Amino acid sequence: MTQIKSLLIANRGEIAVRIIATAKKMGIKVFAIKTLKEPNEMYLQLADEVIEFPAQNDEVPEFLDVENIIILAKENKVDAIHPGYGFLSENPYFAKRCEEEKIIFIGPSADAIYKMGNKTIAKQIATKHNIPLLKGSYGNVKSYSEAEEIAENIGYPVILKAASGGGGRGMRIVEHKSDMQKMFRLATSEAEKAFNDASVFIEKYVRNPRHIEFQILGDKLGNVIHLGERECSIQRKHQKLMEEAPSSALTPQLREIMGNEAVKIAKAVNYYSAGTVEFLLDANNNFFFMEMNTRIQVEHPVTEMVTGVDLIEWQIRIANGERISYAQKDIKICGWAIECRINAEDVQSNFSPCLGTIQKISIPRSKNVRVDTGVREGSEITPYFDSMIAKLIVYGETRQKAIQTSLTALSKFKIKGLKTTIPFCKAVLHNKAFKQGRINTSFIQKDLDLLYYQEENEELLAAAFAVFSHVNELRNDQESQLDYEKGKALNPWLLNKRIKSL
Amino acid sequence: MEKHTNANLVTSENDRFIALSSKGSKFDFQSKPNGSFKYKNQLFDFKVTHAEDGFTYIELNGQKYAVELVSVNQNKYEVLINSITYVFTVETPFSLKRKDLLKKQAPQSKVESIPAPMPGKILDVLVEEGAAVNEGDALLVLEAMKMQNEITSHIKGKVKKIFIKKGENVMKDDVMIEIERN
Amino acid sequence: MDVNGKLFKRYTSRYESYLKQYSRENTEKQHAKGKLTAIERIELLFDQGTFEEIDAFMTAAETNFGKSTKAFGDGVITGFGNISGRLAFVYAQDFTVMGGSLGAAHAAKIIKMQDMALKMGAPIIGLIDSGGARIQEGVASLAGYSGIFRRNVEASGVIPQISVIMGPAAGGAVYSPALTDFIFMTAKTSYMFVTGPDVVKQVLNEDVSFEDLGGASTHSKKSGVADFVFEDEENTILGLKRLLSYFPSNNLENPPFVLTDDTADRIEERLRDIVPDDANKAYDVRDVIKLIVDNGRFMEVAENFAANIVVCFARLAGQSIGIIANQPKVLAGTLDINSSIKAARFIRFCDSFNIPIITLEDVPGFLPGIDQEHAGIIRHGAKLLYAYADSTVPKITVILRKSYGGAYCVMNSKNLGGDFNFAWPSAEIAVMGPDGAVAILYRKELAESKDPAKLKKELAAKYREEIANPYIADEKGYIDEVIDPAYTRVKLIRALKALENKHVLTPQRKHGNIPL
Repeated sequence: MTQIKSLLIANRGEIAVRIIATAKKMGIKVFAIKTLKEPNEMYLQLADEVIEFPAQNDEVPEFLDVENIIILAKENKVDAIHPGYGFLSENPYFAKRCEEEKIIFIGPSADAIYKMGNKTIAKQIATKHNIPLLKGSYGNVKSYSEAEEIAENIGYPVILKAASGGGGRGMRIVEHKSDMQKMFRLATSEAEKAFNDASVFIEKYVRNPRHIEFQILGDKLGNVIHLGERECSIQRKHQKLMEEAPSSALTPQLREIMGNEAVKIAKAVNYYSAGTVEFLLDANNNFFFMEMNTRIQVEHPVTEMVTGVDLIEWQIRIANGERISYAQKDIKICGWAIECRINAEDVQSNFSPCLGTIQKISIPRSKNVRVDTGVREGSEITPYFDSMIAKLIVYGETRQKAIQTSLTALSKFKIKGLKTTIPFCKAVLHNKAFKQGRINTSFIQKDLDLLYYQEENEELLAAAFAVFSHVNELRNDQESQLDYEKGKALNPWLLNKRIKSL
Repeated sequence: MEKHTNANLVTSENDRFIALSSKGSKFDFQSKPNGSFKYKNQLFDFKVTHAEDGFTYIELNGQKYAVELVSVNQNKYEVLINSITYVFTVETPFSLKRKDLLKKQAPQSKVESIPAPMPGKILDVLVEEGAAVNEGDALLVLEAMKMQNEITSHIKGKVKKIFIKKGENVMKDDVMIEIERN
Repeated sequence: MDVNGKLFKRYTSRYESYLKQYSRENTEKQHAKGKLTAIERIELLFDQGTFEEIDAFMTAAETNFGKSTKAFGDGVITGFGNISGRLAFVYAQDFTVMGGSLGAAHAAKIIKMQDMALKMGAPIIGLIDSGGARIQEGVASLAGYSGIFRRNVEASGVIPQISVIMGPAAGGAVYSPALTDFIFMTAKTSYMFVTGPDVVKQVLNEDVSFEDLGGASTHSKKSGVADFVFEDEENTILGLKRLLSYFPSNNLENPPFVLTDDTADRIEERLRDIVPDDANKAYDVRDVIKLIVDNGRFMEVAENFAANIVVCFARLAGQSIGIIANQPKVLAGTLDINSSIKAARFIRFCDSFNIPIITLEDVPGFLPGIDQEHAGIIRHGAKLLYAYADSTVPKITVILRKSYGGAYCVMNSKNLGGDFNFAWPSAEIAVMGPDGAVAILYRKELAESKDPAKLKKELAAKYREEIANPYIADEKGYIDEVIDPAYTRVKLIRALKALENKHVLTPQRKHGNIPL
């Protein structure tokens, strides 16, 4: 059994900070990668060693540069690499390269990543194991005319998805035949840009489903368990904005059925490490396998909060070859957890990114409140990386209590210099349908009248502040401030010369 | 006998100011020389403090919010409070009257500019100068934060001028295209 | 004197009939156009109760063209008073009286104010709202304009002259404002043009609206005629008062000081991060200005015209300064015809009125292009060069980043007459940028290379390291000091203090021959 003593984080931001926390707890030495794009970030300060990324290659962003990361790992003789989420976390080639270079990749096998990452293969495996699926192209679609043909077959609306995608990029819903050409072009070019792979596939689009995902943990000895579900239905353009565990839609029976299906598909690819199986759940409790994410998820903390399991720790222990010490029956879902993603985005203008510097930040700290963040005062939100500032994860014995505590925590979360999605999170938490647990992926479009929540008298106070500032401006321009005498009392030397030269 | 003037003109002391929000709501304040303000004939004092934690707070009747002045341009104030932006112009009774008046008189501008809603890169320009566009037609694709955004026309008309090229970077509010209303 | 007696009665009744001109009706007519009346504007401008009107009863001479009417004051209110505690003269054309048209008496009143302002060494402000020359008075009104123009020129550089356009200004009338130091316009209700839309239509058969031809937005963005545009008249006058606070009353005085709570030794670490490491990345130079000057307050001139250069008034330790800064955000901060003219004119003003000039430099060069060359960038660029070299006020330069070629020389370089020339460590001072230089110096090597792009990149990096930096200039004395950006404010204030009594005796001459 290998024992990981040092690891390199091939990632940045809050997930790097999160990994460092667990690694330190386990006594593992952490190496972090410094890039020119953000040379002063928090994760670098927390790491034991900071490695500078070698000379810039403009083509490939640092954290996608497989060979250079491998070189760095070898130069520094690290035992393992943790890829975090995004970047190389679901790149089978990277996992394979690690294996070749005898570096432990903290994640599943390259084979599992490949099979689950390629949605076509993933669907074939699911079909083979009788896991419910949506109708679709079952493979890549080459042209838009082919796409049109398939869409006619399964019926509109359909959804176009990037074959190697995730996180909503390269994804387009097509409502009518007339939109197909435009949407096909957008989906393929976006997929090309984002994943270097233009291929897309088609699927029947389920209206207003819930997005339910199961956290899986498997070891190298073939044991696989699930740690219950997360509900991630609060999405905008397929980007998750708030998540919770458990889901208000699942009964213990349904949880057991869906959990078993999730375990089944994981076992089918000999899955080990942490992973997530995503399902769509329709209004009649029919569920469909969507995809499996072969990495740690952004929203993993909600599962940690309700199960008490440190998922990063288990990723590392599994990578070490350890056996999972929990049996399925040991996993108890206790209480409720909600995660609010606090992004530097302008909710008032279509969630457009808000670049800039965090001038001040004040993070709420109290019982049942966890904040995962990679920023601090002076941090910059750049166009190079995602716009996430922090994740606020709140625990409550009941869903209602978790909502209440979240709202209190959000009102104490203050950031100066940028606009954030806090008012959006508040709007969701105050929403009646949300409070009753009646949510689905169309929640934002259908149930949210206003994308942001205004506190009582907020606009009045803003107006008062504008008037206050205006009156101040006027006073600033006033005579009492001006000292004319000093301007007139010239040094004789200067005055004489000034007159002479006229 | 005085020369006739009936505009209530702006001074910093003891005067009426109307904060007019970009959405149209009006807040009418009476500024008092001692620094307090009257709102809807109720004297209420609000306090502005620059706290040691680096935030500026505005407080009224126990409600206290962190507030930021994002920008000032003449009498236009952009205020950020609880991460929500409010834009006000601070008007006097006369300037408000003038504003309403001019709004009534002014013909709708013929040429509509399409500014960049966010900083990003132009991935594709989908129209040409002189092309007729309908409301909702895509004009260009702007990539920001790795997402592609289609920028559409919000009026029907003709493309008058294109200021950007494929591959160019734009800053927020840069005018990208001008459209002449039909 | 008996206030009920005949003598006094005549005095009061005359005054009463004068006041009738300012009836509620007339006032409301003006308000209905979204405009204030002349007297309301004056009330806004002057400190309460300090305005004294002169020549209120002057009337037009008899004319034989029948249509002439007479009114007290002949369509213009003239006088003096205190603006923020300081003497200033004003003439405010009154559109409610004969359309504010300019006749001989009207002109004589303005001229009287111009003469007095010049004698007293006090600023003069024109509030323009006039239908133009009074046709009935013929050549007499044209003669009036000419007299005004001559005095505008006479007073130029001696007292600050400011024109505020608050209504129409058409034909010859536009040239008086054009001769003054700054032009303010009020959005939507003011316009200026030499020939109006009707003439344009007749001659060229082109349809153009008043607003498009000569509105505030046109003049602030396209023609550069208007230096300041405000949304309404109240703000226009507040803006005017604010601008005046930066100026002395005349060319012998120094500008007023403003007591400030912003300390002279404020170290601003944010300045270290403001210029991007990547030389091709833009930033807003106004952010730099904000961090340097007192309380972050500055007043930008012509902000929407030739935005590739920012010129503004501000204060350092209470002292008025003029700032000229290349704007990397617009056209990469290159110098072109319009920006050269804009900056040159600004320098001439500062120099006339003893306002020190601070230059913040980040300029990759002159804007290349056929249209620029054909439109005479040589002639116009020379204006900026001339203005800098000719000015004798304290001149300080800080090179923030790029400073290449001819543009280096122009932007107040040491040998052009800079008193203090500082550079930030990010400065790149050289004859040309790395890419251009490498292409010339290593033409052969690059042609023979298997991977020219890579080689070029390496050579450019080497060039930057060895040549395009501030240290060579520093060692040769072309830069006085390479400074930590955080200390920019401190260094500038100390330098200004040292230059407080700077004086240069210029050779005797009638005047230089600026390449106009």
